[in-house]
Amino acid sequence: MIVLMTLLLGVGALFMIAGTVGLLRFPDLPTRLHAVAKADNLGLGFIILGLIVHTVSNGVGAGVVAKLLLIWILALIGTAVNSHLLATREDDG
Amino acid sequence: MSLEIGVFDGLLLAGVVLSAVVAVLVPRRTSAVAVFLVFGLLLALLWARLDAPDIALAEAVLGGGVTGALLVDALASKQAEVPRRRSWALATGIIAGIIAFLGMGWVVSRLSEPSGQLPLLVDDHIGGSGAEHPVTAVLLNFRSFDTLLEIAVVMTAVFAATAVSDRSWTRTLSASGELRIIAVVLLPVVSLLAVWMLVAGTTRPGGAFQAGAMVGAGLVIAHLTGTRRTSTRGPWGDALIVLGLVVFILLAFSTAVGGAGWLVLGESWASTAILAVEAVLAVSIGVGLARIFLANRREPGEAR
Repeated sequence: MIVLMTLLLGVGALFMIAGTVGLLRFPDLPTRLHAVAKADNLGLGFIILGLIVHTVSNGVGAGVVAKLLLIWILALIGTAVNSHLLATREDDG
Repeated sequence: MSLEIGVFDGLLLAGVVLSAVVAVLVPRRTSAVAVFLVFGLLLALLWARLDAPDIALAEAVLGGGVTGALLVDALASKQAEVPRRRSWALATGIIAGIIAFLGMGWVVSRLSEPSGQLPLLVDDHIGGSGAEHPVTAVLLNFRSFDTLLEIAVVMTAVFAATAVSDRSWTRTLSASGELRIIAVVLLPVVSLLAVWMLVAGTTRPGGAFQAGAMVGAGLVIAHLTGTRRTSTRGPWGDALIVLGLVVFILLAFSTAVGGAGWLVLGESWASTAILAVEAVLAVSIGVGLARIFLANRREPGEAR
C-alpha cells in the first residue's frame, strides 16, 4: 500500500513539476495555459489518488474519499474556466 | 507545550518568512500580490501544523482568500504603477519594522505560559454555553461583546467602501453563456459549504466568519457570471448588511431587559440563539464582503 501511495504521489509531483516548467519556459499565453491546465490537473489527480490510497489503507471512512474527489473535480472546473477566460481575453486584445 | 520541529516545518517556516519578505520587497504589484497569495497559503498550513485548525481555516478563507481576492480585484483597475521607492520611505519602513519587531518581542516575552488558566476555564464552562466547540463558545458567548464590535467594524468598513467607490460599479454585468454554466455548478457547492461551515461551527472549526466568506464568494461569483437578482447594492443590500449588527444588538437588549444581563445566554436556549445569530451574521458578513469586492471594481464593463 505504501509503495503504491508513494508511487502515485511521486508521479503526481512529476506532472506538477512538468507543468510548472512548461509555465516558465513556454513562449506565449496559450502554450503556457496548456501546460498548466493539463499537466497540473493530471498531477493533482495522481496526488488525490495517492491520498485516497492513504486514507483507505488507514481505514478512514468514505466521506474523506468523496471530499478528496470533490476537490479534484472542483479544481478541474476551476482550471477549465480560468484557462478559457484567459485565452478568450487574449483573443480580444 | 513542546513542539517537534521536523524538516517539513522548517521548510514551511522558511517559506512563510521568505514569501513575506518577497511580497513586501518585490517592485511589481502583480508579483507582490501573487507572492502574497502564496504567503497566505503557507501561513494557513503553518497554523494547521501548530494544531490550530480554527486559525488555519480563518487564515485560508479570510486572510488568503478574501484579502487575496480584493488585491487581485484592485490590480484589475489599471492605475499607474507604484512610484519608485524614495529613500525616506524606505528608512521609515525599516525603522517602523524594527520598532514593531522589538515591541512584539517585548510583548511575547511578557506573555504568561500558554498553559494558563483560560483553556481550563473555557472547558469548565463550555457545557452551558450552547456550543460544543471552544472557539465558538468564546466568540458567541463568553466574549460576545468583542464579536459584536467586530461586526460593527465590518459594517463600517463596508459602508466606507461603498461611499468612496465611484458610481459606475452599480452597472450590472452581462456574461457569456459558458459563464452561466459555471454559476449553475458552483453556486450550489458554495451554498452547501456556507451552510456546512455555519452548522459545523458549533462542534468543530467553522462559524459565522468562515460561512460569511463563503456567502460573499458565492455572491461575487453570481454577480460576475451575470446571475440576476444577486446584486448587493441598493436598499436590500444595505438592509442585509445592517441586519447582523441589529440582530446582535437586539439580542443584547433583550437579554439585558428580560434575562440575566447583557448578552448572558440562558443554558436552555443558548445553542439556538448562537446558531440563529451566526446565521444572520454570516449573511451580513457575506453581503458586506461581496459589496466591498464589487465596490472596488471601477469599470465593470471593461472586465468582459
